[in-house]
Amino acid sequence: MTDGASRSDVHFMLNDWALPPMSRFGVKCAGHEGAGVVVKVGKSVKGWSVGDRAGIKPIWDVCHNCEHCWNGRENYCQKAIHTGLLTAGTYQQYVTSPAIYTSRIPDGVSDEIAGPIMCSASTMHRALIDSGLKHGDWVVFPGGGGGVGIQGVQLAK
Amino acid sequence: MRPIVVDGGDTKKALALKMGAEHFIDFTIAQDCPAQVMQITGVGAHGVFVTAYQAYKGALPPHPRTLIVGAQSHMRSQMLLPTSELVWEPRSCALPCLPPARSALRPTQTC
Repeated sequence: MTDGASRSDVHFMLNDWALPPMSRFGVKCAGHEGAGVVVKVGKSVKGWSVGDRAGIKPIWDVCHNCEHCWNGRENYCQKAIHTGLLTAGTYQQYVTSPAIYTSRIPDGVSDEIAGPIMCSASTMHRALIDSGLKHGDWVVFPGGGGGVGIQGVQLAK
Repeated sequence: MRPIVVDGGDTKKALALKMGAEHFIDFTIAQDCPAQVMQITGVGAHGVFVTAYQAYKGALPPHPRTLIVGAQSHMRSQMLLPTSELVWEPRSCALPCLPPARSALRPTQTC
């Protein structure tokens, strides 16, 4: 699995945020923006085949059946499972991912690009879309030289 | 859109300009970053995307639309804002990997 290295993973591993430690969940492996290839498919899974390219996001799965999930804001789902904290993360060669919430990566996008898109770029993309800003608008990025901000700069351009 | 990056150091400057920023403001050198933004744009920023939590307070007024990316409830700080500056609509966008911000901004003082 190709994975983007994010400062958030360092925070999870250092346990310096107001969150429970990874060990509380029996999780040893951090990592939350991964891209790779499907090597095995569960017997009930439909729509995925070995060899498909797949991406894992910072949220590994959600409940799919709450107000947030139904309204396109599943990042607020109270039952969300966070990759690399509540479940094993992507800093490893093999990792599982629920078929219903795995991202599909199209041909033409390399794993090295797709990995960071799973978190930093998609975060900035959502912010830019939600902002309603238009072509030609001035957009300021305090912290724009960092991992997330620089994605925003590229997307805004 | 026309990106302006506020960050520190030559490495960040080189990266930001290479990735498409039109201007770079080095906060370690600039005395007043919002004033520099006004000088560059003439009209002020149409939007501000804050990924550096240290910049929250300075980034807020007088920008019309500010999104705090990744604000976390444990980092929330009380921001004292006079009502005359509350003419904009703050919104927050939670990073998907973090617990959502219960409220990124909460004015506690009016005058």
